[in-house]
Amino acid sequence: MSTEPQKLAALLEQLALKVVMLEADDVQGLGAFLAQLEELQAQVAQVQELAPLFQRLTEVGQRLVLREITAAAQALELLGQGVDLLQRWHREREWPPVGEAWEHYLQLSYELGLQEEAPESTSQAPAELHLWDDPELVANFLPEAREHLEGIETRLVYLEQHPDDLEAVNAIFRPFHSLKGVAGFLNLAQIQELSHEAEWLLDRVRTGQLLVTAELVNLVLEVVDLLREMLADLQEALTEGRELAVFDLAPLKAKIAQLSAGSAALGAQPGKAQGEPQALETSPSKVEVPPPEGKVAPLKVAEAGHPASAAEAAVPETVKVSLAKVDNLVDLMGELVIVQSQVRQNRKISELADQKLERDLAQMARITSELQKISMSLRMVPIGATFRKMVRLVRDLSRKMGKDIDLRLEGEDTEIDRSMVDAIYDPLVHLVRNSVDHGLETPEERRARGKPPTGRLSLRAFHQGGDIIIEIEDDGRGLNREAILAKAADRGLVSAGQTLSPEKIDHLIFEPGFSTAATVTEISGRGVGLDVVKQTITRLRGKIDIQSRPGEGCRFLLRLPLTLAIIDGLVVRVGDERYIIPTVGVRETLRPEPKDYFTVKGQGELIRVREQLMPLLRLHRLFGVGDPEVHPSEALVMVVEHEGEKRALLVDDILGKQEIVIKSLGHFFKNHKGVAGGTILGDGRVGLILDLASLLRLDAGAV
Amino acid sequence: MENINYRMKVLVVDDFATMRKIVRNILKQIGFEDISEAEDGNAALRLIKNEQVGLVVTDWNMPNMSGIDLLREIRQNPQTADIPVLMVTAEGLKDNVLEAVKAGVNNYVVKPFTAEVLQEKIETIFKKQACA
Repeated sequence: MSTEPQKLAALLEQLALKVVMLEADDVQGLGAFLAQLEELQAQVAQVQELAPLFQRLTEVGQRLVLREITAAAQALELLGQGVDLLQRWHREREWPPVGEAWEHYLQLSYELGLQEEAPESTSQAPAELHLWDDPELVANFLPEAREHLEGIETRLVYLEQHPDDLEAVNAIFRPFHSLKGVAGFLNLAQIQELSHEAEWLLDRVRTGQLLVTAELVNLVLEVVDLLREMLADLQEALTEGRELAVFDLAPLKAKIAQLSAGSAALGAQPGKAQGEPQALETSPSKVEVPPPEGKVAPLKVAEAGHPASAAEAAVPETVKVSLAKVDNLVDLMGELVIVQSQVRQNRKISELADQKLERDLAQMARITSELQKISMSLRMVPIGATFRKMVRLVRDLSRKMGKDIDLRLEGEDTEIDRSMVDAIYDPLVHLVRNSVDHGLETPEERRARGKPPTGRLSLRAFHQGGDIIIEIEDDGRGLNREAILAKAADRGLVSAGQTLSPEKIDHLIFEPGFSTAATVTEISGRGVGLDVVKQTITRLRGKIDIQSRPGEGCRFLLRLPLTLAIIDGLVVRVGDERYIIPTVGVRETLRPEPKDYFTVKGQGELIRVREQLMPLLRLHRLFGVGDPEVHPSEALVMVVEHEGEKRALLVDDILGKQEIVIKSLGHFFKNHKGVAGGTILGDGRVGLILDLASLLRLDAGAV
Repeated sequence: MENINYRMKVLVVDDFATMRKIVRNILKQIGFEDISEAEDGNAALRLIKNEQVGLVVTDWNMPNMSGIDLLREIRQNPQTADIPVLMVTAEGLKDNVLEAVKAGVNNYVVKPFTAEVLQEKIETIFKKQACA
C-alpha cells in the first residue's frame, strides 16, 4: 500500500496547520483537531510507543473543550509540541526523540500535570430567573412536568414487563433529564436534585450496570410520586405566594444508593440478555400489568441501541391554546347560533319574503352550525390519558392484593369533552378498584376454578349515537346474588320473600349505603360506595349499567354525553314561559282523558297512564306562572323518569326539540330547586332548564 | 459584538416546551429578535430546510431525533453544513460534549446557564466565523 505513507504525511501536515490556528475557546477547532488526531492514531496504531503521546494530546484537547485547564496557553503549546514530535518521528522513525523539543514537551506535561484545575464551576450563578419573576413560565411548567411524569409512569409499568427494552429505559431517562434541566433554571433545587437521582439511576441501567427489577421500578415510581407532591406544593406555593416546602429526600436517596450498590457486582459482565425471553405483546393499545414481586425475570439490559422506539409514537403537529380561549370561543359560538336564529325568526325579515335573503340566511345557518361543531371539537381530547392513569393504579392494587392482572386498554383515541375528562376520573377509579378488589380472584382461587391464573381487566371506550360508552370488564367471580339479596334485606332495601329478577338484584349494588365486601378493605373501603358512582354519572347526565355472569365476570357500562355544555331538550310552554326538559328523562307525552285524572287524599293529584298511577306535578304552580287550575285534560302531560321513579309533568304545549346550549344562572339562582340552568332560545327568550333529579325529590303533594 | 447579526433567525430545539421558552427568553435578553422553536430533530430539519436559519441552539436529549443526530444531519448535508450549532447539555456529561465536539459542534453550554454565559458562547462562535 504505497498510499499509506502519503496519507499519513498529509494527515500530519493538516494537523500541524490546525494546531497553529488553535485557540482555547474555539470549540469547533478543537473538535476538528481531536477528530484528526483520532484518525492519525488509527493510522499508526501498530506503533505502540506512540500511544502515550496520543493519549496525552487527546486528553489535553478534551480538557480544553471542557474548560478543565486554565493554563490554556501552555496547553496549546503542548499540543503544538506534540504534533511537532509526531512529525519528527515520521521523518526520523526514532522514539523517543532526543533534543530540546522532547524536553520542552516533558516540561509542559509536568507543569500541566501539576496544574490540573478543578472543572469549571458547575454551580454557576443561578439563572436570573426567579420563580416569582415569571409565574407564567412556572404555570406552563407544571402541566408539562405532570404530563412527563405520567409518561414515565406508563413506561415504567411497560418496562417492568419488558426489562430488556433499552429504548424504553431511554424514554424514561429522557424526561427525568429534561425535568432536571428546567428545574435548574427555575431554581427548583429539590425537584432538580430528585430528578437527578432518578436520572443517575436510569443511566446505570442504560449502561448495563443495573438490571431492571421490580425493586428498581418501585423505586422510580416512588420518585415519581414524590415529584408529584413537589409539583403540587409548587402550585400551591404559587397561588398562595408562599415559599416552597422542604421535602425530606434522604430516605429515597438512601434507597437509590443502596439499590445501586447492591447490584454493582452485576455490572462486571456486560453482555447479552440472560434468562428466558418472555412472550411479549407489544401492541401499543395494550398495556400489560406485570405479575407481582419476584415474578419478573430479571433480564440483563442489552447494550445495543434500537433506533425505533416502541414506547413512543410520532405525534401529529399541534398548537397549544389556553383552555380559557377555547371555552370563550365555544361560548361565543353558542351566542352566534342563537343570534342567527333570532335574525331568521325576526318577523320583519320574514315579511320581506325575499328569496335571495332566504337562501343566504339558510346558508348562514348551515355555516354557523358547522362552526359550532368544530369549535366544540376543539375541546375534545382522547380518553387515553385518563385510561393510562389506571395502569399505575391497577399495578399497585394488584400487588397489594397478590393478584395477577392483565389490563387491556381499548379505544384510547375515543374523544370526549375536556370538561368530562376530570368528571369521569373518580367514578372510573372507583369501578376499576371495585373490579380489582372484589371482582378478580387470586391466582390460587382462579386455578381452583379452572381459570387461567392471570385475571383480565379491560377498559374500553367507543362512540355510540352521540354518546361515549365506557366499559369496565373483568373475568372475575361476578356478583354474588345471594349475598346481595341478604345484604339488601338486612338494610331494608327489599322486603323478605320479595322475588326479584337477577338484573334487579344486580342493580341493588347501586343503592345508597350498599357494600358487598364482607370486610372493608384498605383499597376500596373509603366510605364511598357504588351509589356515589351512580350519582356522579347521573349528575353528568349519563347512565350506568351492570352485566354480571356469576363465576365468569362482570361488566360495568357507562353511557355519557360527549359534553356537559350542550343537551338535547324538549322546549315546552307553561303559561307565557318556556322551559326545557332534558330529552334523556322524557318517556312519553300525552293528553290525558278526564277519567284518567284522580285526586287522592294524602297523595295529591294522580294521572293514570296505561294502568299505572303516577303523581302529577303542575309546573304552573311550581313556578307560579299561567293558570294553576288548568284541567289536565286541557293541557299536556309529559311523563318523565329519574332513577326508576316517574312523574307526570303538566305543561301547556310542546314547542319543539332542539340542542340547548347550557348557560349558568350564577349564584343568585343556585339554590332554586328544580332548575339546572338557563338558555337563550331562538326567539331571544330565556328558557329555564329543568333538573329532573331535584324536581322529583320535591314532594308531589306539596306542589 | 459587531459581527453578530441579531436579526438572523435562531432556532431553539428542545422537546420540553418550558425549556424552549426559557432559552427563548434568554436569547431575547441577549438581543435576538427572530426566534423559532422545534420540538425535536426532525421538526428542526424541516424548518432548516424551509427557512434561513442563522444559528441552531439544540438540546442533546430528545426523543425521535436527539441533538447529536440533528448535528450530524446538519453537517452531512452540504446545504446546511455551515450553520452554526450550539449544543445545550447538562453538567457532568463530558462524553456527550466530546462526542458533539468531534461531530463538529461550534460550541456547547451547560444547563443552567445565564444570559452572559450564552452570549459569550455565541460571540465565540461568530468571532471564529468572522476570522474564517
